Amino acid sequence: MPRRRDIESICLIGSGPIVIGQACEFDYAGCQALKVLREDGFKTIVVNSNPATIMTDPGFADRTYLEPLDVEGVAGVLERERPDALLPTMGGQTALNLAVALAEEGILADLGVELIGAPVDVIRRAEDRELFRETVRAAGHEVPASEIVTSRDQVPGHVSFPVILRPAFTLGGHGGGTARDPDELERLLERALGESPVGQVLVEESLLGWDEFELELMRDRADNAVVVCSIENIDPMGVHTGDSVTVAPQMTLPDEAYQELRDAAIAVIRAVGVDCGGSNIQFARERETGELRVIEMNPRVSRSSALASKATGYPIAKVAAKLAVGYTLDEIPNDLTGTTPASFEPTLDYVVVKFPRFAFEKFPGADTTLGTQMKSVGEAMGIGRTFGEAFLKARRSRELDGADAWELPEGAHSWFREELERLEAPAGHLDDLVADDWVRLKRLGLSDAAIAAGCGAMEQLARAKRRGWGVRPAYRRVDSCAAEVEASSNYFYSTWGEADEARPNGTKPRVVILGSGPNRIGQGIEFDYCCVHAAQAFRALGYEAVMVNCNPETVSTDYDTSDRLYFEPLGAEEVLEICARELPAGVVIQFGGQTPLKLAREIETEGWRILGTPFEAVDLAEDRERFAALCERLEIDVPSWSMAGGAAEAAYVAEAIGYPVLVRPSYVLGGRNMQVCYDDESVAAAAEVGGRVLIDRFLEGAIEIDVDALCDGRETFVAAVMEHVEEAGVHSGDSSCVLPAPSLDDETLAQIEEIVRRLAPALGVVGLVNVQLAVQDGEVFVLEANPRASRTVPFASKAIGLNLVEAACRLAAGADLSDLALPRDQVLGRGSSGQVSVKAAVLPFARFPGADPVLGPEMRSTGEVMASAADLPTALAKAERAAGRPLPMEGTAFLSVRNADKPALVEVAESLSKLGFRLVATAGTAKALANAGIAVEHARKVTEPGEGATVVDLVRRGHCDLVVNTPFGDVGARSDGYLIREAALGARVPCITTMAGARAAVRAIADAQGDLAVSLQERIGAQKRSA
Amino acid sequence: MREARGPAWTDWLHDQGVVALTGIDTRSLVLHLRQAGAMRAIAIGGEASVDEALNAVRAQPEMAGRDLAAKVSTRDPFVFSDAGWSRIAVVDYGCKRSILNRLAWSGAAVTVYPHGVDADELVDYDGVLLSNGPGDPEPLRDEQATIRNLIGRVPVLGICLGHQLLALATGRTTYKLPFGHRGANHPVLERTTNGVLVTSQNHGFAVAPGQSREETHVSLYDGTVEGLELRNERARSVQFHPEAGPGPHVAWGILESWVEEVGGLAKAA
Repeated sequence: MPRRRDIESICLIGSGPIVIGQACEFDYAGCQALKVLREDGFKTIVVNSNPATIMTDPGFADRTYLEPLDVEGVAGVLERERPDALLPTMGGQTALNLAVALAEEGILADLGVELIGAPVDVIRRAEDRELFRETVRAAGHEVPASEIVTSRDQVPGHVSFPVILRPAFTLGGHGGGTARDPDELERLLERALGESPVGQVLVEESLLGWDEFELELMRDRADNAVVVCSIENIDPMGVHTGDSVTVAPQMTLPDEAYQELRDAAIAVIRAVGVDCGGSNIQFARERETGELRVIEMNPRVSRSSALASKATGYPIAKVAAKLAVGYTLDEIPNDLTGTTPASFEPTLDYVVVKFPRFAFEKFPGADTTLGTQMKSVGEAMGIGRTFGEAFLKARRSRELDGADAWELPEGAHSWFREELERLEAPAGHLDDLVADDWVRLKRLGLSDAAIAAGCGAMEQLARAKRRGWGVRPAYRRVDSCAAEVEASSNYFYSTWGEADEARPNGTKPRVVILGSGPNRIGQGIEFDYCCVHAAQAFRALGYEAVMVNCNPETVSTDYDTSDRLYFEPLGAEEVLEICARELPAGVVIQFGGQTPLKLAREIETEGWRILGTPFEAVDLAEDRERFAALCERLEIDVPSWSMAGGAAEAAYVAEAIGYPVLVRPSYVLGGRNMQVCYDDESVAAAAEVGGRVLIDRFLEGAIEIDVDALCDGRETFVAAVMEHVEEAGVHSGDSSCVLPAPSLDDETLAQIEEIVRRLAPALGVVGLVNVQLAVQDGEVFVLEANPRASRTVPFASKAIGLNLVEAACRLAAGADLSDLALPRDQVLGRGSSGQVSVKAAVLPFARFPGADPVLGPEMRSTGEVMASAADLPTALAKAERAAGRPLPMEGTAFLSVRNADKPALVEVAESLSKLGFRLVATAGTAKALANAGIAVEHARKVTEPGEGATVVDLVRRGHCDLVVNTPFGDVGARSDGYLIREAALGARVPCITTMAGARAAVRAIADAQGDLAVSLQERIGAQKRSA
Repeated sequence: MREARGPAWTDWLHDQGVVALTGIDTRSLVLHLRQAGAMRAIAIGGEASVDEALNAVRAQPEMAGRDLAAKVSTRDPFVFSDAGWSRIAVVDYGCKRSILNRLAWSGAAVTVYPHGVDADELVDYDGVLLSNGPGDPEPLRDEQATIRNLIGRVPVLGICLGHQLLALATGRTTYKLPFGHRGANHPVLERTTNGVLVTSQNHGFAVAPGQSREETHVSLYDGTVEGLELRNERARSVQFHPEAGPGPHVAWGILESWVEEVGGLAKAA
């Protein structure tokens, strides 16, 4: 059946900010879908609040809306655009939930918008626990024994522990858990009921220890179903699949058992009624008896489907989009092979392993036990010819800074144990290894580094010895058909002791672009955005773009993005071997965050050219002594600083610099272990971390500024000057950020631009540079410079309507700034479009109970949103909505701030009072406000003796709509401040932990206007006209 | 289920006289076959030069034109399952056990006959299944003659080699594919329903396509004939393996409905 002719325009909903359980896999899916829909002549409209996505680039859809993903936001776009259809299956749980809400409120019917991909009844059958159970049972299959409850007294008395709690309609099993006794059940159930937007929780038979499998299916409207991929979880049931090490295809089932799963999966997808798209179905299987339980189904693309796509080469999202508009599987070509239809199920002649990456070090106090609630922030995938090879590649792709504590989980299948036992690195001498030994060891999957470590030698020496024996990797194609049919695939992985396949033979010069590896806090989708644009830019400049990355969620690892894709760990060994094969004209390291920078020196040592900014600039910027000397020479102010070793020296140095000070280890990434200290005691404690520490003067109350600029080595173009909402001391990645900077006068702005213009060429930047500055009492200080693409590049690009990465690539390829015909920077940096753009961070505190949800120098956000409006308050209010914490317009505000903030609080409290808010405060704060003549009620702290409800009770019971609580230096302890913030988090009440944040919020509450959604294309058009 | 690893596994292979290869670059082998076509091969355990190996390979007869069924067919008839609501005879050209299992599971009493069986011995059954088997169907002239003699007298279902023999017996031609269809993932379009079956396949020869309506199934990969139905003769056949094993079960229905259908016909008669 061919494409439907009754649809002309389609609106696609994205998944919003990156959160745990919902990452850039939906950008990948959305991009693929948009690509095929546009090729087919549909008008496409995108709504997504996440500026770091590729799908929200102006070139990817006809109309792009960076609007909050709530009913109001999407309805506004639908009203304006009046599309024929809405496609909700590419944007994860967020988009599905929104589609259901839009349908239930009658908005889709009123506007005549058809839901395609998954109609509401299908979504309900898959997502509503009770309906799903009935559907599966009617199809002749079993689900875990369970009861759906909406309160504690509905839990049956005879329940046998352990039981699993699964709240309905939440992301990644969010809010769930395993209860082993009635007490634990009590506690977890309350939280789970609170987390479920419909107050519904499934209390379920525990299948702890059963094997867990997932199948990725596609089904069309002619009732054809194919299984794209099977995935086996190495961690058995009980650990969320997002946190499990998984392997594809499944390894331990014989054919008959696997076919039973396949039959069950097809029966379930048919019964649920998905008939124009893909689904992911999860099973538990008792290893001995073969008993099966259907666990859940996602009637949409998912994290697992992204993994399956990368694992097999089968473009699930593309095919799903085609199915949604009416095609059948036999009509859709598989563009990886070019010769087979989408009904040809992939066959693998290799193994794929996925490893999760965690960020527990960012959340001290949080429970690190893995369970049914997903906690990992990213993942890496490895491809090898054997399980062991794939496993080792995936494991080292995680780029852990510290020790690797992974152990095969108890209860894992013995097959995995036996395979892993074969992977021991040799102990002995490198000199004893001859060619055959090298081939054998490399075929196991051992890295040069692992072999070197086993022999007590340096990695470089091992590499030289190995190469001396002529042992080099071979590259094989991922072609979805195990070489059975001719495939023109450009997607490769390495292995050893085999023949090399499809050597590059083009005549164009090549660039190797190094990606950013697994998502982690501080290095996420923003860098993938940059890498994808770099690939596009270099292709447009006449190069062949060669991509190296190991993150299966990303657009950069879509084989469509580059001329050749190497799905490989971002290690020196892999990158150098790829260079040796590709003989690139240059290697591009400035777009993948810190990951490629770590490899730069070795790449240069082997004689490969770094395109654009040389590594020397990175070293100059990161070495504090050298950087300070440079600034001094350029007459640029930096906060006074010094190094110290040990507690005593640190305290002495801090005294000399003057309090407050910022203390951190001397080589620091992403604000790790950074601390603001107000006295010698805390400095001494902070210096105890060992090694040398860096002590900076902390510019209290300063405005922090982020600048993204382009430089060709001589001239500098200041592209964006952004102001942080939170004051210095909050990590720039966690702070909200405004463009154009609202509180800078012309003189200060000119001064900032001038500093950046002096600094960038002096560092030797050719391409992008990010400079962070602080303005205190009209004085401008440089805090740091990063001679590479920064986290803010996608936001800045979208806010100013200029593709900064493309410009940087042209500079790196040798163009001068003057060749780029850029608009005058003053125009851009100051936002002539009349629009104010705000970027707000999204924090994962709700996933880490036990960790203090307070902003600080350590970055902890997983993602960001962007909102634009004609004025700042409206943009701020929209950004908060987009970040999932809409500001209240009325109600009760609870205030509790440290002494230093009390004067500043008066203004905030006055405004809230005028806006009609009832004010409640703890004793000290209440007294300060009362003294200023503001009506305020007193509530007691938990630690304060007395009668009646405590603050925490008020917040928990939902008697509070806004919390302003600045820490008293009591972060992380089981202190009052912590308890208040945790209660707010649990009750989903917006909790503001800085005074600057509070001022901004009050402004937004007071002055936000209702406004019309404006598409990115319209804004850029307006900007071009005014420029 | 025997676990395919460890000493128990290799000992068992040894007992059965089965050669196993491990550690070779299988993908390069597949690529070679895909480019150069299916070819004779040799596995050498001891010391031998390339020339010696090549000579040994070249001394082997080609696959095309060889009568291989006789080597693998049962010598004597035997009853595989004695109870069932339809009575099925299977002509064994190298029959997979999973076909017999699937027939029995579908409710058939199954008796297996050697490849050289006389048609007259088969006509009293409710249906005759022409099994799969190795190699080229073309040289199996006696088998084709038997089928010619058989069709029209009793319902017939051919699988794989059985499909090709039915085609040859009814005037069609077969040819050698460049490298065959091998795998458990081959999509086949079922013309009667316009549905896609994901099938298990393992064959190196194929029926040459005509334009007739009798071609009920077609490969979505290369358009080769995947199924025939000769209504007047009550004969049908599929190139793929509906019994799967290994492979997806979606075509089980073909065997089940045939068993039911021929049993019903026999009772109605």
